[in-house]
Amino acid sequence: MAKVTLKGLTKIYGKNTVVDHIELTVENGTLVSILGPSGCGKTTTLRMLAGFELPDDGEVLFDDEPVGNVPVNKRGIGMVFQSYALFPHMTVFQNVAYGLEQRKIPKQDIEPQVMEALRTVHMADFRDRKPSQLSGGQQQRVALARALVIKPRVLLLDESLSALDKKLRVEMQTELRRILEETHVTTFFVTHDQEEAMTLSDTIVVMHDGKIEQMGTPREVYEKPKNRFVADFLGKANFFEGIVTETGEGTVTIDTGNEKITIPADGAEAGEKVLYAVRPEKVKVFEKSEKPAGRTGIDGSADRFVYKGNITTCTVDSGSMSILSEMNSGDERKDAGRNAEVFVTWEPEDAIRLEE
Amino acid sequence: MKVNKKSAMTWPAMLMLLCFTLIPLLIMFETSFRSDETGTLTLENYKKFFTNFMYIKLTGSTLLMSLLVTVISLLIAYPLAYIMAKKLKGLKNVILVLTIIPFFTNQLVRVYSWLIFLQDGGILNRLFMSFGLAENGLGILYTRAAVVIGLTHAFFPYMVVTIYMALERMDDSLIEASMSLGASKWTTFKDVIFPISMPGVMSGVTIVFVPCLGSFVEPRILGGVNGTVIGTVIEDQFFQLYGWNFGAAIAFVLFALVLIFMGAFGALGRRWETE
Ligand SMILES: Nc1ncnc2c1ncn2[C@@H]1O[C@H](COP(=O)(O)OP(=O)(O)OP(=O)(O)O)[C@@H](O)[C@H]1O
Ligand SMILES: [Mg+2]
Repeated sequence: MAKVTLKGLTKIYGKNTVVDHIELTVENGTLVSILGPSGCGKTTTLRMLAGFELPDDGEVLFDDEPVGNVPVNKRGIGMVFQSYALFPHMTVFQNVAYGLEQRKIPKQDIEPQVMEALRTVHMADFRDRKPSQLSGGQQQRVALARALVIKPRVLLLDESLSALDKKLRVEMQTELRRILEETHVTTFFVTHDQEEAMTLSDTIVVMHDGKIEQMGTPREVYEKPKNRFVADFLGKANFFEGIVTETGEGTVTIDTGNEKITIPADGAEAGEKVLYAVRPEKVKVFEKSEKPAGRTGIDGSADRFVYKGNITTCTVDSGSMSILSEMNSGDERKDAGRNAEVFVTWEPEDAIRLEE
Repeated sequence: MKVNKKSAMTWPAMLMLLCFTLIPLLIMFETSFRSDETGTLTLENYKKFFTNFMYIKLTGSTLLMSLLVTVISLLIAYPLAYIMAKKLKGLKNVILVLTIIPFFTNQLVRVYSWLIFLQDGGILNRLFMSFGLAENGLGILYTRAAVVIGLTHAFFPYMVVTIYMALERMDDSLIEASMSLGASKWTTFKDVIFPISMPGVMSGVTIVFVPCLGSFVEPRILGGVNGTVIGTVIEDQFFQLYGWNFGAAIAFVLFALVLIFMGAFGALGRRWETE
């Protein structure tokens, strides 16, 4: 329910700049996922948004108002902690009612609101239990209900669905999306799970060493990663790096330092230093005998084809590099046996030119 | 037969308890029902206690004194434990050592230090007099106040430790969760921090209150004629008057009181149980 702006937000612990001049504007009602490796500053960023930590530089604005002087309990945030932080001496009901009581809501209005919130997270039957009598996933859902029931302006979720099993997690994701669309609350969602970030968010922010590497819609970030870090962190990628020696019709020849290879790619000129990323699902594998005439690609030998349910993967060894391919398991395809001689290729537009 | 083997390991401890705690206690219990003159079984010792208003009054004033020591200890111990556990994460070991120094000092040394400190020519009096705050000295020694000071000093460190442990165990994100839900600092303390530390508070209260009830060294040395409490009466019976049977009877009345209070404190602590 608020537009959130981070202006040059910085946090320094001792000598470590943990969050490094972050610039970010999040429109009202948007769900932003913050994605990044462990220790990159995700929790610290959330804690500054909440007001638990004061920034060493820069500021946080809600609806263009700086909130630097607004204490935590007046910021109108809802937070789900990495450790859930349910009050151990209170029942599930009392935990969820706590925030409403602070808002001086009349007693008779509290009960229906609490029960409504508990129903949303499928925990209504557990209202009289103590947190110690709940599983990790159930505790997480109570924590979510407790944060949502106060109708916060900004909702902060720190790996809030990580303890749930796959099925329940997907269910909660759908539920969360529905609740957020209804309540229109601006949400920051910290997660390690890129698939979760993809399905849930309007915007993905990829963080690394306290800096934002890239932000955009899930599609933008996945299909147009800016650099090696983002391409590698979100999904998998095959990288080709070197100096361009020659370009052709949809082909680029690169001197990698060890050898010269010609790959399907566009958008480079001779003499340039380039880095291309190719997503494994774009890499097509052909048996040598079926190699399409006139196409550019790389010869190699395939190790075992690994069946992984919906996809089948295969690593092709060209002698100097290995290329990962992911194919739909459903596709009609002859399983070239172990160490088969193969040929891999992709469309020139599937080679993404990265900054570095 | 595995169960038996394991329980065999507890036998030495059980034997110790039996020989050195339970048997003497039973002997004392039996003693309390013996007549002083005839040595026959009788209820007269208990009757003597409950029919003499002086003893009842003394019990009451001892309870009151112990309660006062407990409350003062709590008022000192809680803030100290809180600051140690939640604020001064670096300095806490220094303070912890300072507070538990009384643990390691001999009881008599400690009590006589207070005697010297509080007496008329002592530091405290001279300090007050030099500032013109008390013309003829405070006259604090040999009063109930001196006893309360001595007992508080002796027992509050135990309370610091139990409360400190309860607060230290507590996850800081609970405090943050409470703040994020809109609670003020005071509400957070009242509704989250204090209730969660309650088991520690209750064991601290028990650990201070119970020994105060039976104390006799501090009351005797620091309280003088004003220091008569149940503990000194029992001691007198055993060591001055050779009224062992009556002394044992008073001791068991006190024992019953202790059990009642421990039960009450326990029940109070369980109200905040997290299970
Ligand atoms: N109070 C603190 N004092 C000193 N360093 C800290 C403090 N809190 C966090 N850090 C450091 O700041 C860095 C970022 O921490 P943060 O908790 O924000 O990481 P994160 O991205 O949330 O990681 P994770 O995914 O593991 O939860 C880490 O290197 C951490 O060690
Ligand atoms: Mg974290």
